[in-house]
Amino acid sequence: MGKTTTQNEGSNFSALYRATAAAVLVWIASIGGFLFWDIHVAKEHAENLARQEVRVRFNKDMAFRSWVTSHGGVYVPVDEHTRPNPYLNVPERDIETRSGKKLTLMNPAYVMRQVMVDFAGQYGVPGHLTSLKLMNPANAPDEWERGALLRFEQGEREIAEFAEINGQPYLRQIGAFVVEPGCLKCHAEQGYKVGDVRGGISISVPMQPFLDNVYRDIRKLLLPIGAIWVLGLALILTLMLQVRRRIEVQQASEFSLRKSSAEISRANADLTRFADVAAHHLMEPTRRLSSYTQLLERGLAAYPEVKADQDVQEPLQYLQRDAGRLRTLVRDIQLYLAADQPRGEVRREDANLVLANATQRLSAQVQQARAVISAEPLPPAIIDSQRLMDLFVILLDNAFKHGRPLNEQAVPQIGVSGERDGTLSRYRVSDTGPGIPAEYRERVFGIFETLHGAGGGSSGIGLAIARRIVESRHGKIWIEDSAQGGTMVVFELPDGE
Amino acid sequence: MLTENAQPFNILLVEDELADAHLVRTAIRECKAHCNLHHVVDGLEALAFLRREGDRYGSQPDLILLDLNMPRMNGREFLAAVKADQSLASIPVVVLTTSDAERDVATVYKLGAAGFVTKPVDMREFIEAMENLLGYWLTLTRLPKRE
Repeated sequence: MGKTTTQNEGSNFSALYRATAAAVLVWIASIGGFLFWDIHVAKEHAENLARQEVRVRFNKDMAFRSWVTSHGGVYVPVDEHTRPNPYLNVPERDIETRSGKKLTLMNPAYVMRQVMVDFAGQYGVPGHLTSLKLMNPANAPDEWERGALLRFEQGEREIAEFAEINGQPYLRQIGAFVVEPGCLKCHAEQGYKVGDVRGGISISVPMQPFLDNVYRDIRKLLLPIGAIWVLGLALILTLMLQVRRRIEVQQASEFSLRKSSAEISRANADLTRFADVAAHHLMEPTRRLSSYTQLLERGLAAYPEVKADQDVQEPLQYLQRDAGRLRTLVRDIQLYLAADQPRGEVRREDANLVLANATQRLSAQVQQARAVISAEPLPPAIIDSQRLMDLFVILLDNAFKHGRPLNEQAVPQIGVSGERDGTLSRYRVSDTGPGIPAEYRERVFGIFETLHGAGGGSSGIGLAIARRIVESRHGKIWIEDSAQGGTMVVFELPDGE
Repeated sequence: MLTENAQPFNILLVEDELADAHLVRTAIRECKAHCNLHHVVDGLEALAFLRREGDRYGSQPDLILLDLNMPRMNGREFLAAVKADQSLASIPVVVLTTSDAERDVATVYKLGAAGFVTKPVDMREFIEAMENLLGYWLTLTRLPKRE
């Protein structure tokens, strides 16, 4: 028993631990999910910003290049920094003003390269003008740009992607520039026609500053979220400990309840055994008291004058009466003690048949009481037939004794009826007697309770026996008013083993 | 009515309670049976009596009336001893007791009892019961010849 208890406790706690672990996991997953989502959103936001920036710069570069192209290039003074473009072979590449100032024609690629190189610091973002057919080898595309340029030949015109340069994250955008009439001035010799893809302008925005922003934002979030996370965990663990303490308290009280209930039933069994043995031993002297009282009376028959003496007759009568009463009492105690045990097989019994047998057994009392018993069809009951018979005998006998109508001329009517109600069978035995006042209806089920004083051959234990039988079958028995104002005893016998 | 037999009927009563023995004796006298009643107070004494009588006189009782609850050797032990003894096993033993426990009834029949009678409480019924009992064993039933 102790072992089973320990096992039960273990399994109870392991269920609690499992639930706690699940709660912790769900909590971690929720917080983690939230953090993950937040990072995702922040990153997306940063990327959008980067895209916007790269687009602005790109458009500006494109506009600038278009402006140069639309003028067929621009003439600038030649100096150390701006030499004539050796790759540009057009007439009037280098001109001189009337005042002798030397000017050279800068083609768009040259302009763009110079602007991007000279003002890289202001641009902050390295730009690049490139092509698969190079005039200036310094403009050669890198790996990513080459891939993009090849894609332009498949028809794409603008590509923006995240890619790494020297291991650093960048947002790169490259736009195709298409051969316009102005381009052919220099590039006709390369075989271009108007509408061909000449090359691309590539812009790269470093992502690191944007990502740094994201990480800074997330770091700011980490403290409050971490606090919430820890708080949640603490709450879950506290709850778990509370529940565990409650389970422990409950188990402790269940255990002591079981223990005391086991003690009670053992004490009850001891008492029952004691009462049984005591009754058994009482029965022998009781029987002899009866027998010898009778022998005494018979012996006195030889002395009629002594027997007639009031001082002999009266004690003898009391002796006889009490011997009889003692006998009934001990017998009833034995019946009462045995009433919670089946006497025969517990099975589905035909109550109609059992009632008929009970009526037969009481035929003398029926005649003496001049009673009319009317029985309606009864449902079957799960019980041993012996005790069902006892129930009917006790209740009918009570009805004969205590259910006589106040009007002596009236015929006592005893009604027996019953019905099924779910998984139980209910029976009623009613009489047309004076009834029992409400305040006594519970008392009459007590041992040795009778409302009619001593005598009448009844020890007042009949209803107590009936209740013990019914309750041993987990049923109920009680008293109501009958329709005719008499007593109606109702008992219910549930089904089950 | 029970006096037809010329030879008296020998009954051994094994009963520890003198008052009960007296009642049995009275009942037998009341029903005017032609029999000798020998009374012993427990199983040991009864066995000793049976073995002594058997040796000395060669006359065993025709019937044993046996109480169940007795000191020293109770009714069940005595019954088992009698049925185990070849020279005594043929004597019919009727259990006469206050008990009416089903368990006792089954036990004594298994041990070889010839009958189980619960002592009636009412004296008139008791006498009637003895009358029936003796009538059955004295006149109706044929008993083994005494050794």
